[in-house]
Amino acid sequence: MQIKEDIRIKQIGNESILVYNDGNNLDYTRIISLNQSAALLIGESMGKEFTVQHWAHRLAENYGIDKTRAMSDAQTLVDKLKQAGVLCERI
Amino acid sequence: MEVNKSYICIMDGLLTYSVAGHLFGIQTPDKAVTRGILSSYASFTVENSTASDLLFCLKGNRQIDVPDIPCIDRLQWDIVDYHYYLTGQGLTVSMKHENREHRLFASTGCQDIISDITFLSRNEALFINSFLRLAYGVTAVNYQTIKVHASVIELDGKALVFLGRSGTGKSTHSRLWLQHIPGCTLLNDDEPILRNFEDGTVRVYGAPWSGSTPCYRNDWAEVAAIVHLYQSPDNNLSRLKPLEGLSSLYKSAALLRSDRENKDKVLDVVTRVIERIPVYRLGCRPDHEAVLLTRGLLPMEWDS
Repeated sequence: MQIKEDIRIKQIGNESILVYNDGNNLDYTRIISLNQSAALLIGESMGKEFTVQHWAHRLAENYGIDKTRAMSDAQTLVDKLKQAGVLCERI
Repeated sequence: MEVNKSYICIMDGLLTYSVAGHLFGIQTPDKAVTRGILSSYASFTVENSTASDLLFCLKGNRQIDVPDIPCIDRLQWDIVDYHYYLTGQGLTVSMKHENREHRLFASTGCQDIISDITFLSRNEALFINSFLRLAYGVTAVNYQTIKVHASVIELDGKALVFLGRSGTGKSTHSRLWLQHIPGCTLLNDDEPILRNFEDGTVRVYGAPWSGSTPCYRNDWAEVAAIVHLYQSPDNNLSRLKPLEGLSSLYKSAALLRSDRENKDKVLDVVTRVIERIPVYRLGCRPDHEAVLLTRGLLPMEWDS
């Protein structure tokens, strides 16, 4: 899967924010607050294909958590982003 | 020497204006006539300027062809029907109003902005105004400057920027300020300009555009706060989180919604404003009490 092209991450003070212009209508601009690990994963995945396993691996590497927890956290984030319409799946 | 002559002639027909500290020009066959058509621009006129250092120069009397491709966007705004076409060469915009149509072409990077305007007819005022607003918006954003939909009140050099959907009561709230707060003035009532500066300050500028209120002041003030207005049975003021503030200001900013690069640049300017300026939410009635709430966002005399 991939992060959609219209997604941007912005930093306001300590807060990382994901901004998504859905189509041409400004009323559909969505802004989502991100925690540090989500901002890291999304930031480095811009314009690239990635999998839940890949994200879990990156979480385990960066935050020293075990594989099971990393998989669960990565899956949770992917689910949330899917729900927000931020991801596109390539076949 | 024919070439030199025509060059002098072209420079002769250059009208220059400065909005929020950025210069732009109009190349016209008759400066006096064009000045007369653009009366709201009078206080923004810059004399004795040259073609260098302009954000853009809008030229007329050219034939502009609409590319043979589907339009990327179409919208109706300010009683004009707009069609946008994007090619590798640049952006073509067709504007229609009643039975008239005029077109503009902006090359990629906007070094060249040409149109089929003659600059000699009063009937073109609406079109010239729209073209200038568009050209200003897409070029000034490169200099940390954006146009927003807002009404602005100024007191002793500090400003409050009132945002809100059309019809919410931005102008009404500003008018109540003028009634109840001695010394305050209306800086702009519809389309002010926000500009970020290197020293961390944000200024709001008047513009030759101000909606239906003829308030075309060439002046500026330092932004103290941004307030998003909502109609409410009770008056209440609360500070928004940065995330909410960003959303609020971004939705009020003028942008080219079909152009991703332009939207990115506008978002960047908005983000910088939000890092510097607090944003509030005002649920309000159109009354004096609501004004007393926003009055507290500007310094009082005893503060100094």
